[in-house]
Amino acid sequence: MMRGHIEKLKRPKIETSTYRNDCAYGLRLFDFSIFRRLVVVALLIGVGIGEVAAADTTVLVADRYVAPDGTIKSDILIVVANGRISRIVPEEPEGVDAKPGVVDHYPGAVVCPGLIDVRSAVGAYGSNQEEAFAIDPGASAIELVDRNHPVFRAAAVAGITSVLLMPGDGNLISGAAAVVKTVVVDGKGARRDSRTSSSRTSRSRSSGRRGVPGVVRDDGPLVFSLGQSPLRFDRAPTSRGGAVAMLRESLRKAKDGVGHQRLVDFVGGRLDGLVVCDEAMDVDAAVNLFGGMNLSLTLVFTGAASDVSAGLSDVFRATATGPYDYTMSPNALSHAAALAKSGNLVALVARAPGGAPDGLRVTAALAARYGLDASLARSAMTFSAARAVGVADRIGSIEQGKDADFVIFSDDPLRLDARVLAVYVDGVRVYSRELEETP
Amino acid sequence: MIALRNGGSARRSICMAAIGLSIVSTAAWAESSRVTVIRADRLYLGNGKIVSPGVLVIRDGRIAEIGVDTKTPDGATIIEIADTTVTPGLIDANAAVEASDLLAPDRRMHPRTWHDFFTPGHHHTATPDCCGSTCPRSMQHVSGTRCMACGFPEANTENAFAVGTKPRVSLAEQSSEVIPDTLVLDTTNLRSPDFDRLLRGGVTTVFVSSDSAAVIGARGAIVRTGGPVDRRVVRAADAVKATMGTDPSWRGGGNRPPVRRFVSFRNRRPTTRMGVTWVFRKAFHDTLRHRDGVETYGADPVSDSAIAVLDKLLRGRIPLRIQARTQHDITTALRLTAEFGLSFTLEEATEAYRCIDLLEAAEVPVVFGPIYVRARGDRRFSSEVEQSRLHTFKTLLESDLMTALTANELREEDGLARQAMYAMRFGLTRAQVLPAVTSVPAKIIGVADSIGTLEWGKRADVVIWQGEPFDTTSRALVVLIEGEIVLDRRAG
Repeated sequence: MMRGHIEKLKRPKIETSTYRNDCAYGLRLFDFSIFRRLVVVALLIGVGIGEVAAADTTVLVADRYVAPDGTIKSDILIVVANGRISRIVPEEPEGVDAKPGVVDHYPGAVVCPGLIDVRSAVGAYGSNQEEAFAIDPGASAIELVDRNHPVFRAAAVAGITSVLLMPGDGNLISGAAAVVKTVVVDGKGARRDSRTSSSRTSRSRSSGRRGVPGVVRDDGPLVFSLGQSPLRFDRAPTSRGGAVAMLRESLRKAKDGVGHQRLVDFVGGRLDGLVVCDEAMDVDAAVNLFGGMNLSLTLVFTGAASDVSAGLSDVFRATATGPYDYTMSPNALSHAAALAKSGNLVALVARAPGGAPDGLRVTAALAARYGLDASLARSAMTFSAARAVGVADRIGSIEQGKDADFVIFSDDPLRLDARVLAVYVDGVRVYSRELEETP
Repeated sequence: MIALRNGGSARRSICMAAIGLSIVSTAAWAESSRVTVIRADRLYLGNGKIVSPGVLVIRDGRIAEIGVDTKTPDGATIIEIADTTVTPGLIDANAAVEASDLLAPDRRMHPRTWHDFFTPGHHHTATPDCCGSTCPRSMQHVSGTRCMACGFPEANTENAFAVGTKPRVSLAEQSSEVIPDTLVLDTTNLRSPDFDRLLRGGVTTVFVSSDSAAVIGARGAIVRTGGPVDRRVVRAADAVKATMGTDPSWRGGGNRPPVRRFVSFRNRRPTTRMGVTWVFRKAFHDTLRHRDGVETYGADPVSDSAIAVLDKLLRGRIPLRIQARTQHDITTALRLTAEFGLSFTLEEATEAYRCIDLLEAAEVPVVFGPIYVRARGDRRFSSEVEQSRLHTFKTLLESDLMTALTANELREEDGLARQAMYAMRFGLTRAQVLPAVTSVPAKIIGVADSIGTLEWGKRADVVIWQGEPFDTTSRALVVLIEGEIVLDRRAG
């Protein structure tokens, strides 16, 4: 397995961590509430989840967490087993004594689901654009993934645990995107900074059919582009009229079962899609092309949302917008709010690695400042983003059975002074600020 | 009083309409209906009739009453401006609307031909250059890339003009000469400020015409120039536009003379009138062969989706328009269409005065225009405009041909109202010209049942002109589309 980036996580001083060991922590800083939590943990490990505790179990305790609806709620205890969330205890039940297990406790911190950037080229090796044909549904972005690419690490440290790696938008149909984790946690490399030397069972679901590790999905969504980018001097289409006509013809043929299987699946509603639009008229074209087909389609739109936001939710399951920065006009920054107001599920994108790793949070913070509800802004980086690209059954929220991808923020992730304290991927702490930054 | 200059039948119909309407209005229409009342010194109904002074009542976006002293319903919006004339909204049956699908400059582009290679300043650095004021997009250009809006750096520079190069500009699809399966609407930005310019010129409905870069071009669209964007499209896929003459050879930049490094659709037929005719004929031959189940072969194959549209053209289910300027091209169009049993509408028709009898024999509707002495815009690069005459439109209008006037790409003060003024200056009356920009184009593009005249039940697309329309001192003061004010210059 490609483990180069995991090797970087190996730090000799990990064993001296003060955060991790619950006993040491308890002795050093005795606090009744903490004590109570520990009792609960012990109860869970000893009684509730005995069979899981035998495997690799981590317990996360924090004062606040980001709920699936994006609101920040207080007090959570998450039991992680085999890389997934096996149990959540949002409140503190009456405790009984039992042997304490391995507990990561973050007093005052906010546990957030790992952030997701749904329009990125993170980790792509070489060009992400196959340029010969404008209609190229057979291309797969997963083939581009370089698991050793350093930008994966940069994204992970910023709290982004999954990205949608998109084939370039220079074709009308660019192929299938892939959702990959920014850190691979393989079977043997569990919990580098843990004293528990567990032998984790390898999770086959994180390794795609194509043998690339750290994959959430490798078969889509199918990426369409209706902006200027597919128009070229040296191959059809050279114009928007030609572009739309070509797409219309491909979709018509696919309805008759002619064409690449992915396109046939797409028009049949068995594969979801992602359509990139730059301007309002591109969105009009998308609505004309795809409206009334009952597709599972996400709009990625960077233009003026106030022109088009009404009626989009009839055609698109979600709308992704961004990235935002401080140089943009208030009008542009209020697009996310306008989209949400007219009933669209809003996801935010950072287009990493084009921008700074923190671009996703900056985008969300600016969207919130310009009218997007704060809980929607948090959700737009997590659960809404996961729904927008069809992976909400695995990532994007802290719910039982989902992948244990978390970011521990020192405060509300929308506060830009909040720092990433730790990042977990598949239940493994892959980054700890204290461990990595303490000299 | 009612001044009816064209016989009494209109008086009767107006009175009957008014009576019928007053009955309906009390019975069916509730209080909540939106009523607008326009009082003006003159109502030009667009079918040759005039009501003066007149009152126009609009109810729920439709014309409800036309009269002299109609009672104003309660709660009605009243528009009353001194010394004004009301006409139907003007209709331009051949508008070239600025689209926003211009090909973005491609930094990766390498010189494709020797022509590219030797053009000065073509591939130096990536510093932005400005092409001067005539680029329709006012865009910053990048050296080494060709602007699809103005052809920079090949045209629009002083040097380029000096050596007489033409802008190789087209919004049309360049991958084939036969593209009736593409839609102009797809390239049209309905939010384009160009529509506002049309509106300021009093134009409320346009047939958005295809570019002339392809021999058989895209299907045009009929759109309104104002109102909510989602209600603007009247017909999304309308007539196919074919082009005779030299435009398919030089527009679009692909038809380079043969110093060719490689064969591509960027170096393509046609480069002569022979080629244009060949492409046109082959497309329809292929369609007929396809219909007979015979496999088509030969150069420049026509796509299946294009053949499907051409087949409908041959069956008369889709209208055909042909742009032809010179007498030679007009006669070629007549020959080719006779060969395939096609009927068509003639566009531009610059030299129509030289073959009126032929056109009359074929009963071809004509969308003529614009009127000019010296052509402007891209037309000035064409060799087909030299025999333009100012009296051609009068000749057409006085013939048996159904003739509409168009301003094509001209806008606002140079727009359709100014074209009508030129027509009046060169021998026509206002009563002759007004139908040519309202009811006749409505008939030609097939929307006469809903717009084009001020009649009961029609859509209330109305322009209120200062003074007499088409006078040099007159301009559109208020424009209504479906009874809603979309332009209001009453304040100044």
